[in-house]
Amino acid sequence: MGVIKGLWLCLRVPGVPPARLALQAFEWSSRVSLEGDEAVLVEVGGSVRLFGGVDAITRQLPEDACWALAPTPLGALWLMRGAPGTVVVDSNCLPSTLGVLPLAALALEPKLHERLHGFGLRHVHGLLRLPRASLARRVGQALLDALRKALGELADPRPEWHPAPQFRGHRELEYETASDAALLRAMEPLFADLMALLRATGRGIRRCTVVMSHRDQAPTRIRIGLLEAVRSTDRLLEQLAIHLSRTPLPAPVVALALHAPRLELVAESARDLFATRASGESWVGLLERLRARLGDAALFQVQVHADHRPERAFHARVPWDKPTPPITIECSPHHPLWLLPAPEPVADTNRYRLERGPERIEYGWWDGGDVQRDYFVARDDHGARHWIFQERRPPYGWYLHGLFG
Amino acid sequence: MIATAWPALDAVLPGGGWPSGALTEIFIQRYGIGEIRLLLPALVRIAKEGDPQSWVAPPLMPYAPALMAAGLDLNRLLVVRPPKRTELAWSIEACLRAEGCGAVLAWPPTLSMLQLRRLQLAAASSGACAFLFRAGQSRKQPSPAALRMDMTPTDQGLMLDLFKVRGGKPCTVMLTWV
Repeated sequence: MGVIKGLWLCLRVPGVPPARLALQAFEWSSRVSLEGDEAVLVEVGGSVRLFGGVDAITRQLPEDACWALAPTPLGALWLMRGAPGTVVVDSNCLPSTLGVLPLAALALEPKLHERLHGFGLRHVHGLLRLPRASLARRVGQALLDALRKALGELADPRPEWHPAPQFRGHRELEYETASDAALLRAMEPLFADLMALLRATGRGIRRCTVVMSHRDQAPTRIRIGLLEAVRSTDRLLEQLAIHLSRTPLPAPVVALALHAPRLELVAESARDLFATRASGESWVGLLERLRARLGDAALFQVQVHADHRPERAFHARVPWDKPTPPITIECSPHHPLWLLPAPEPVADTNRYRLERGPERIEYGWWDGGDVQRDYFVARDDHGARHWIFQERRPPYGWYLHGLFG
Repeated sequence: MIATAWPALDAVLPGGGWPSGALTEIFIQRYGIGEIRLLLPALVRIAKEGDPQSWVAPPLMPYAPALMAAGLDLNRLLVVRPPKRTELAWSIEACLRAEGCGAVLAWPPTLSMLQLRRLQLAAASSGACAFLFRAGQSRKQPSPAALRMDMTPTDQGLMLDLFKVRGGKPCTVMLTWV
């Protein structure tokens, strides 16, 4: 008998599809396999060593779970069926432990089961006591192989289960509702399932869609977009709450769905956008809140641009774009802190007293945005300082371009 | 508290600087009298310390080259322009509440007493300096602000009439541009 190093958990929870169990199990181990739609098999040897004991695993299982632990997957499956709660760690104990199981634990084809029953066999040890050669002849090679796999004498490779690369969840509501608070509460289980998938895959999401179905009405879709991939129910619920408060529902909601088309690496990308000492998350969180409520166009950061024309000497950029490397430009200390959206003609130059100037700005004759201006710092009759210029070509008009805020 | 870097002003302010975690209301009749220049030394320092700041609903475009020349780190400045007036108070509050926020400058048209109270609480929660530029007619409105002042231009600088100074005495300060 070969030395078996693994330890397999076979797990079934009434009412929970094995695929969902697999998702949770994936947190303990990357070797997860589905046993049809009956149970999930998880190789937990590594986790048991890591967490210091079998209890660390079994404690986390739900109360109504049906499970067993054995050094072979098939052994664990049979034990789960015939003697749930059994833990076999030492493969030398397998023959005796499996032996006491009723044959029903093997879930054989009814015909074969009846035939064995006819031989007077009731328990697994009946099979184990027969000489192997006659066993193959009497019960078939398949059952013999199964026995050898259960005992660890024959390799039993299992197809590895992997989490889906996307998430789709759906739930019908027990009662119709149009209340934001009730809808947010109703979304929690869907978000919980999504989080399980994200934890299992070590990923996050940046985009998801919440579909709210109504009776006799087209469904309401709410698209949530975040600045960075997250794995946080709170962040998603917060976004959903903002969107919900601004989305009129045409009718009560009867069912909810959550789709996340892409699972992404949880990157640090957006965290350093602000290059602040504030925890990155609080600033990204602020940007997300502002963006969800005010729209993309409401937020920007300014950066300088190497151009002598004041109206082209800066760019507004969206805060979640990576900042371009800083450039240093020379700016006179006599330029204003506020710029008008466009130069405004000055109707009456008499209201100004010139304090400084002219500063000549000539630029851009090559790109069609030619400017030839003489700029002045001027005091208006209320004591405000304005940045005005005179065109250096006919008709030599005067314009207001900035304020010394 | 963060030093204003104007010695005459620091001398009369309790703690020796702009109140942090509290509202400062600045009443002005027109823009372009040096209202940003007054705050700029403190804003530059806040950015240097690594704290972000938000300018909410500024009346004109902040001119990046001049701000940069003054030493302000533009990467730490977020400009918020709410599309609707009704979103203004919410936006200021959201910025003030953000953990680690250094300063919020805002140009609200009107604010109710309730809104002012909420903003005061938000500033207190993050410890940010909150500067509200307001029109003169709101001056009579009662306010929870720690500091309230009228700002008028003089030939060489500013006259600040500090008519409410929490923890200090109302007074007038003359500043000369350097």
